Amino acid sequence: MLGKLLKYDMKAVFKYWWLAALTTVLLSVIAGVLLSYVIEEDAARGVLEEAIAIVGLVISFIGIFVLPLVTEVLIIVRLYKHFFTDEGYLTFTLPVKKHALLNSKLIMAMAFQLAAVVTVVMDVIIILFVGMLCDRIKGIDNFSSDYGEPLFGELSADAWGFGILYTAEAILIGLAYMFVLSMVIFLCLTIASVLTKKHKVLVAIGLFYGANAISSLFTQIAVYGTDLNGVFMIFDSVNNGVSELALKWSVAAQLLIPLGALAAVGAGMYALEYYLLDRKLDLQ
Amino acid sequence: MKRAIVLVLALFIMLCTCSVAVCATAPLEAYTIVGDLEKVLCGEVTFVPFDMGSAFVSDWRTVRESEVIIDDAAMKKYSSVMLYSYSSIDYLLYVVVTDNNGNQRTVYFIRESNYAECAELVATGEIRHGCRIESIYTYDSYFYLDSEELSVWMNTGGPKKMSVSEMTAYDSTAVYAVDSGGGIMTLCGTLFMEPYPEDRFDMEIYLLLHSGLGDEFFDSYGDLDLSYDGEAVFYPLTDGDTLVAVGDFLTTEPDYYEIPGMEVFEGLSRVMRIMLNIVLPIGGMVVAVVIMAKTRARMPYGAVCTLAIVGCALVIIGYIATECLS
Repeated sequence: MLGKLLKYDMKAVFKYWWLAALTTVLLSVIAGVLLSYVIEEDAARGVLEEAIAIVGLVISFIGIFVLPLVTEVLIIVRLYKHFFTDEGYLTFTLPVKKHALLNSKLIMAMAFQLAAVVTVVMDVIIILFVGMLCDRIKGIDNFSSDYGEPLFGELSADAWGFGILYTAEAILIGLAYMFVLSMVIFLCLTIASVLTKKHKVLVAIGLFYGANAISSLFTQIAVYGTDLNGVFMIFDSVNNGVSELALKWSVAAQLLIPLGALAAVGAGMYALEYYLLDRKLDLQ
Repeated sequence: MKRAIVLVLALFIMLCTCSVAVCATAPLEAYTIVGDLEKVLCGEVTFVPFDMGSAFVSDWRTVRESEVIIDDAAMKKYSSVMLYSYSSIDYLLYVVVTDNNGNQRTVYFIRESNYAECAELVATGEIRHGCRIESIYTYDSYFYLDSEELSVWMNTGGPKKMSVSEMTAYDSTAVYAVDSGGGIMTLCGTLFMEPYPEDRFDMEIYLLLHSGLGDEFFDSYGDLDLSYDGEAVFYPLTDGDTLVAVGDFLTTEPDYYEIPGMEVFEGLSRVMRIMLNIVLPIGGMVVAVVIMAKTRARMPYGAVCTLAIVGCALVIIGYIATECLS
C-alpha cells in the first residue's frame, strides 16, 4: 500500500516540480554563457553591457538556487492539502495505517529534496561546462584554467580512502538533515492543525520561525561551545605531534556526532508527529 | 504624513543632485597605452616597460583601472588588455594582456624618472638606499635599515671570514635591498641570528651579502646552500643601538590577542561538550527505551526509537573517539 500512496504523492508534486527543475537547467546554460562573458575581462567593453551581463548572471543564479525553496513549498502544499484540509478527512479514512501515510509523505519529501540538491549540483556542472565551451569557441582558456582544473588531481591514495569515508559520512549527514527538515515542516503543520482550526498556515509559519530560531540558537551553542572546540583540538593535535592517521580518523569520528544527533532528533520528531496524527488531530 | 513624504523626497533629490555633481567633477585619471605596450601615459607622467627580474613589489594591493585608452596596435594584437596600479606605490603599474591564442603576459611599467635607479637595483641586487630584514616569525613584517645605519654596522664590527656551513645552527632570515621609493625589493643577503639568545645586548647577529658570492654557494633553486664549506665574508653586528633594535625585532614574536577569561570559557565549553555529547544522548536513549516499553515497540515506535538509540550511540561514540584520537 505504501507503494501506491507514494506513487500518488510523487505524481502530485512532480506535476509542478519538473517545470521548476527544467527552468533551472535552462538558467544554468544562460549563466554559463554569461559567466564566461563576465570572466573574460576586456577593457574595451562598455559598462552598460557588463552591468546587464552581471544582472543577468545574478538573476540566473538566484533562479537556480531558489529550486530547493520551490521544492519545500510544493512538499508543504501537498502535505497540507492531503492531511489538513477537507481532503485530509478522506485521506484518514483510507484503509491504510497512519504511519504508511506519514512514511509516504516523508519518502516523497526526502526524494524531492534530494532531487533538488542533485539538480542544483548538475546546474553548477552545466555552468562550468558551458563556460568552458564558450571559452573554447572564443579560443581562450581563462575559464578552464581557473575553474576546470581537476579537483582531486593531487590527492594521494590514502587521501582518496579517507575522502570516500568522509563523502559517505557527508551523504548520510545530508540525508539525516533532509529527514529532520521534513519532520520540522510536518510537525509545524500538524501542531498548527492541532492548535487551531482557522489559521493553520499562519500558525505553522510562526511555529516554523520559532523552531528555526531555537535550532539556530542550539546550533550556535553546539558549534561554538563544542564542535569548534573539536576543530581546536585537531589543531592542537597537529602541534602536539599526533600522527596524521589518528587525525584523519578523528575527523571521521567527529562527523559521527552531527550524523547521530540529526538521526536521533529526526526520530524523536517522527515519534511526536505520529503521536499527534494518531491521537490529537481532529479534522471534523 | 504629507510633509514627511515631501521632506524625504526633497532629501532624496538633494542627495541625487550632490552625487551627480560629485561624480561629474571628480577628476578621472586616464591611462593611455601607447603602441604595442611601448609606454603608458598618465597625464604628464610617462611610464616605461620595466623588467622586474627576480625582484618583487612590496605592495600587494592592486586596483584595476577602468579609464584606459588603448592604441589600435594593441587592440588588434590582444583580445584583452587590463591595467593595474598599486594602491600605495604611484610609480609602478602593470598591464596584463591576453593574446588571441589565450596566452597571458604581464608587463611592468615604471615611471621614467625611477627607471635608472630601479633597473640598477634589479641588475646588481646591491644595497644603495636601504634594506629590509624579514621577520623570522611572519612573512609580512620587515625591519628597515637605511644605508647609513648599514654602513655603520658593516664598518664597526669588522668583516669576519667564516664557512657558511658554520651557520647551520643559527636562525636565518632574508635581507632585501629596496629602491628609494620602497616599492621594489630584491633579495640581497641573509641574516643569521644565534638561536635562543640569553641577552639581547650581547647576541650574535651576522650579515652575509650575496653579491660577490660564487654560484657554488647556492643550490639549484638559487637558495643559499648552508651545507657548503666554502668561506665567505660575514659582518657581525656590534653597534649597540642597532643590535638592540634588530635583536628586539628578531626575537619578538607577534602578539596574539588573548581574550580575558578564556579559562572560564574553556571550562564551560568542556562541561557543555560533556552535557551535549554524553549526558543528553544517554537521556535520549533512556526516553527511547521507555517509549519502546510503553508502546510495546509497536510500529512505528519500535523502528523510530531504535533509530533514536542508534543516533544517540553514534554521538557518544563519535565524541569519545574524537577525544581519544586527539
